[in-house]
Amino acid sequence: MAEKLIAKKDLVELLNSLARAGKTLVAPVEEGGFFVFRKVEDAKDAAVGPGIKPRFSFKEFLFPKSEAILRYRITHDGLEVEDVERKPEELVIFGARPCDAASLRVLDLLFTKDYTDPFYASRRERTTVISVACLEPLAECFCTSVGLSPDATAGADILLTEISPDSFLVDILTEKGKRLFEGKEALLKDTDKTRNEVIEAAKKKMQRKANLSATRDVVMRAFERKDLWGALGLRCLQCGLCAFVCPTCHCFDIVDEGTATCGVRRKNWDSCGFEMCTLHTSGHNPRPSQSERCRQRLMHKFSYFAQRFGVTMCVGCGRCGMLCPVGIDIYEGAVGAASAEPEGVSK
Amino acid sequence: MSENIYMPSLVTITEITDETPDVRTLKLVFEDERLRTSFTFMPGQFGEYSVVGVGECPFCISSSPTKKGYFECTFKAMGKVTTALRDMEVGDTIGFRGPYGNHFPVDALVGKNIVFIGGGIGMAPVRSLIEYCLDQRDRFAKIFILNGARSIDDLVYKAQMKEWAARSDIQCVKTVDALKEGQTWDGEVGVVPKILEKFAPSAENAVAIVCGPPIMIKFTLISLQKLGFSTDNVITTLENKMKCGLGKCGRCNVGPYYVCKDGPVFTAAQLSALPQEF
Repeated sequence: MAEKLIAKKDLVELLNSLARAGKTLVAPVEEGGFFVFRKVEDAKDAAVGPGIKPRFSFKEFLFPKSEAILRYRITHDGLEVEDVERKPEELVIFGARPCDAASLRVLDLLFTKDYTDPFYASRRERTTVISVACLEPLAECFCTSVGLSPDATAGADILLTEISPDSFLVDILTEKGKRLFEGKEALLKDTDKTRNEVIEAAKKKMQRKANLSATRDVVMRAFERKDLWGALGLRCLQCGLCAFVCPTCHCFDIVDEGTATCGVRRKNWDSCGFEMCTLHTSGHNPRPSQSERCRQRLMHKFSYFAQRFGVTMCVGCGRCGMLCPVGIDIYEGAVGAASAEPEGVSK
Repeated sequence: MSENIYMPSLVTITEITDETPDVRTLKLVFEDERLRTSFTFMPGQFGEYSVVGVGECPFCISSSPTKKGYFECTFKAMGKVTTALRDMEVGDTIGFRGPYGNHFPVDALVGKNIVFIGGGIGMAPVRSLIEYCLDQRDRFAKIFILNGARSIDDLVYKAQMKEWAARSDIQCVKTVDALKEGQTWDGEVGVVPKILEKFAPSAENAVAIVCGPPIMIKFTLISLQKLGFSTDNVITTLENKMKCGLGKCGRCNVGPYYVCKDGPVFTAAQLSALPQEF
């Protein structure tokens, strides 16, 4: 479909009319010194300009940090277990970065293949994602290294590209995207402009340019590379930050919370970086030290998930490396694992 | 509303058997009458058992699907949930999700000699398959059972062992690592691999099913190799910490494989090709 043009003020008005019609807008806003996705009343509050990378992706709107998956009650009549209601809001995510939107490709495969996680799936079904092409890649960014680009469309329903200070190019990618413009098609103007030029310029600004998109077998061969994993394990503090800021990390725990007579069972975010994640009750741990746990995170992203689902699990947002308190950078790790074995290192 | 894959069905404990001081077998019956007849599984599959309010834990179904109307699990009281489960009584209700995972390749066992080897609580999945085979005895050739434990007290399924030993169409051996002073015992004394080599079941047209603690598995695989078993004909089960049992929660993987979905049953040949992280 040829791209259209929309005036920013018209887009804001359109989004606000959707909000008035009952949809919930979610967009980056500044809070406490950085940007985070929040529900917003007015689309003009959305911070979607170039170079703005929210601290977290919008993952938690589809896969919350903690959610009840059932309720229980123990009465004189016995045990009752009840399903929890799933009637999620209709969400419009405005201002997703293309890398974050691409994380949905990963989460969709994980949560809806074989067995469908109804909590994720019901929210996903009611979510429309409007990405904004990324014209100012940041130092930590490496989307092009994992087969994506500043205008990647995976996971998005609409891709916007800021083409002038007061207008966006609009690329409607899916039926869901189309529905947002239903009855408002007149706001979309014909244009002969394309995003090619600005996207090429953005790609040129990308500082990290490895090729990590087809490395699943190469990376796997680095499994026994103690030089790589040992060093990571010594630095890692086991804080879990990398998993929590990651758009695609999806490990979760299941715990019961409540009293002896009533409560809920919850799904909570977890991390493969935590010792407890794999510790058996017997004391045995298949990943006994932090080195194996650091290896697991990298291997899962660049090899295991790809072996299983055919897609690299890392979208190249660079958050984990940028925010890690001890500077562990998954990009450097993956580049190291994908490169030839250093001489003199025994397997 | 879409189906909630995390919802357990309620099952009632109808019988409790103390196998050892810390291992129990629970006989379980679905509260939902339709499930009592429609529930099916295969030997080797597992479930998530929950003491609601405490949590869930995964272990195999230890009875055979040929026994209808109920199923059993055998567990050792080790952590929070299994301890709470141990404290349950006949008539109490627990949650169950399953069956999950793959199963023993029962069709490939037809016509074969089968060597069953279990150590400690590892006998639980083996028992499911033994009963399955015994209930269709003529489909399988020779059956050899070796059940080992640290001590006489720790030997599970003593009642079943008695029944199996009484049959003329099975060779049934029990062994303990050591006897306490003054104990009398009508079985073998010695670790499982040693006793296996003593009885030396033939590898000819045979498949070995081995479940037990990692250290036992390690040395039993060596013994089986000595006896001529190829790694394709040695089948075992892996255990890893699990939460969902459905391939979502991300902790039971060994390399790209999830023990909960691709396992828990693997051949020794498959295991040797995996990253050694289990």
